[in-house]
Amino acid sequence: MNTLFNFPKDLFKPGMELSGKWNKKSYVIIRYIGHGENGSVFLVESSGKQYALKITEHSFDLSYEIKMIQQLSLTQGNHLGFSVFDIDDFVFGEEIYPYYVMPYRTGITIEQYLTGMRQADYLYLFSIIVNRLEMLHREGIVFGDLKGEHIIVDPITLEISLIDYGGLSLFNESVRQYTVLYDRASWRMGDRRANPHYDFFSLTLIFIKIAIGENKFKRIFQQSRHVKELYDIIPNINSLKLLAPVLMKILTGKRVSAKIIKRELETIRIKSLSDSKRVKWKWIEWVFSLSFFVFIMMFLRLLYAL
Amino acid sequence: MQKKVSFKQITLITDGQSNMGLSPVLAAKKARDHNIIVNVIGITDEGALGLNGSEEIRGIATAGGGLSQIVSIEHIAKTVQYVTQQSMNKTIQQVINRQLKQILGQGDIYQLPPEERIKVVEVMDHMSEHSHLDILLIVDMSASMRSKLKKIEEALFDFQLSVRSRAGSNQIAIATYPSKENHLEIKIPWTREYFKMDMMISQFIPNGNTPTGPAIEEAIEYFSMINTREKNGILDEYLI
Repeated sequence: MNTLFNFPKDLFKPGMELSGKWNKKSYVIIRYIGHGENGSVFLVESSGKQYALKITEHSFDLSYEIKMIQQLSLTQGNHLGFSVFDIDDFVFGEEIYPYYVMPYRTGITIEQYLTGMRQADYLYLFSIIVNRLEMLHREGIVFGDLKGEHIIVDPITLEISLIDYGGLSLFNESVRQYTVLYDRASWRMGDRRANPHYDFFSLTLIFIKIAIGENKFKRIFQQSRHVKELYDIIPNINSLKLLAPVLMKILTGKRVSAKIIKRELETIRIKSLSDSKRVKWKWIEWVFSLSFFVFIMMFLRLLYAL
Repeated sequence: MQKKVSFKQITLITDGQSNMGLSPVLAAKKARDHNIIVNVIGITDEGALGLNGSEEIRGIATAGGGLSQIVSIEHIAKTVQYVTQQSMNKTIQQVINRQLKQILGQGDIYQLPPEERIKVVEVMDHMSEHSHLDILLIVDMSASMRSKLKKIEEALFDFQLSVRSRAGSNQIAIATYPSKENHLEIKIPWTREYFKMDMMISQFIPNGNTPTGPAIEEAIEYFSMINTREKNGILDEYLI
């Protein structure tokens, strides 16, 4: 809802310097990055280093999200990439704009990365994101607002960053923030109570959307919202061939755990490896048979020649 | 601070101005006096919602201690949930601010340093998420709403999914107005169970009047019909 943001127009433009009421650290705005449901994010610079700064008018929402990140950074360190550099208020006239500063993640979105990639890449990326989510779930926290724009891939190191923490929610509470297109409840496949399956469901839809294209995906959502329609097309999509059994299980199964998903992904991976090995052997068999055949022919030819 | 909190809310969905009976602003004030918060969602497209309609919507929500939002029909689903949530947060924030004033002599969580504020918000959030919620949704069924009812049904269904996902307990009821006999017609009585939403369009009665005020008054009555014996058995509650 756009009505949430009533920042004075052009207040935060590139070059503007902003400093906090409490900690007095100052930041220069480099550019606007984007906005989540509860705040706008800017790329900023402070003491020669770049950060992402999220600022809002609604302290209630942002405080909760900061609290979750702090909790995660305590238990997981930088392992999951959750850390808060600074928390402060920007005072402008009568207004108070709370903000927090976090590391800036570079890379491209998973949608950009996977476009044109092969089945094996889909499988690999899906697996590492499942692992990442599982680590988060171990802390009793669900990511919530998982979508393509929130999964950033470093194209060189293939490191994954999850960005926008507005949806982080404790298990068995309601999911704080979601996007209808990837929301289990909007697809009528359950509710919005935070549990691991909620994230896996969103992840599955993200992969299906990338594979079948945004238009087709949105059309199914708007016209029928039937998971069955997705279920029917998955097996026919080439880039999802390897992942299909897992995706279909998550789409319909309400209680699929990370453990089951990982076990299946491993089975698929091993199977796909042996499949490609078998193909290799077949090729050698063919070459062998062919050379044997040529050899016989030559032999016969020699016989006749004698 | 770990006491269980209980909320009573009315969320009114309308696209026009009231034109019959008691002023809806006065009715909302009366609801507030009964510890019932009144929120209003105004729908903009092609309805009779002009400047006066918008004013009235804001007035009802202010008098009712709740929130108002004016949105197009496309955004109705998320708005119903948003308004309910924010309205609970607002109520809790008011209570906390009052307590802060007593303790610190300053009445605003923004006056606290961010680190302290986060701790307060954590408590507030927990209160809100784990609170008991009785919510009555009232849908305006005047003629201009006919084309929007399908979307509203979807939104109400979606809303119950959100409400049921909360950690706290809850009861939902759905009513429409105007109706043949009374001003308010209960379509779905107080329930803790999931329900289907296919009862509204089929029973549509075109009616020119929009008795918003009387409908809210009857809604206040309807809250007193909640089985309090059962409620007290479950909750150790106090009202804010």
